[in-house]
Amino acid sequence: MINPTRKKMTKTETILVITVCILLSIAGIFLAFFRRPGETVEITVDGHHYRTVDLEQVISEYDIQIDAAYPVTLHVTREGVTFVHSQCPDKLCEGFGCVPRDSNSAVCLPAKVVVRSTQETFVVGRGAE
Amino acid sequence: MMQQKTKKITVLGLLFAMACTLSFLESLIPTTGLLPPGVKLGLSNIVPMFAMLFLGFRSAWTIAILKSAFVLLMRGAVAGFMSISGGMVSLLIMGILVYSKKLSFTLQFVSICGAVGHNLGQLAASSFLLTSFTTFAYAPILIISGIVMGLITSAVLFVLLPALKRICTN
Repeated sequence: MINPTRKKMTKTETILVITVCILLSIAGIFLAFFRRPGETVEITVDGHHYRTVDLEQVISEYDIQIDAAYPVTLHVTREGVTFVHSQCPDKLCEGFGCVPRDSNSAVCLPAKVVVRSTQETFVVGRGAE
Repeated sequence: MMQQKTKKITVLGLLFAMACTLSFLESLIPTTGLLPPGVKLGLSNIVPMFAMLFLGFRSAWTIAILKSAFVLLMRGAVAGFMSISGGMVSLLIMGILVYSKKLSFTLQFVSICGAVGHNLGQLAASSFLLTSFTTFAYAPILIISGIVMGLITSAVLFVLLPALKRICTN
């Protein structure tokens, strides 16, 4: 049941919410601090493998045009792969940044295009280099 | 009896219009660079939450389905599917909390759980569409943003509560 008159959370509820936030923040800090991005990026379209980009083999920047449900343009550099343009109505994919430099994956849902870093590792013990 | 039914239909119509307006206004607020990709304010979820608390589960469900139909027409099939998935999980979680006979919860907590449930429902929907679990890597960000947005929507609901109650009783 609900207590509609009480505006703020009870002590128990507050502790529960803060605990969840702290645990997720610790997980996030661990992932961000100890993450070592992979050197290959996998591109899938509609659940099927489209292409694997080996970042170490990238000599000069280039674009990949994907003719998916919505046409998508990916920009490839030695640092990673970025959604630069999509004809989808949301344009959320353009905000994910460069994979794997900024995030380990980027998704365009309407176009069903997934860009994912593979061979990602976590180095614990020696700290950030 | 007929009068009560007509009144209920009218109130639901008004609430649906409110949900559509809030959804449209929310889309005008620029979030790129301010919020992580995929994170929204969720202002339109205030209406199904109000309906759940004061009109019943069926009314809330009706509003959620109508809202998803609106999103389907305005932004396409993918957005509509995401909206209904998030709405279903959100209402299910809020329903369990609201209709629980043994435990008592505050509105703020129910709002937070609803918002987090909404995000997790959308994550599940995106995994289904992409046939991949890659999107669940984004879960920690969406859970934290759900907690923050749940606090905001509950605060807005408290402000709107007197006006909304007047609509339902008049």
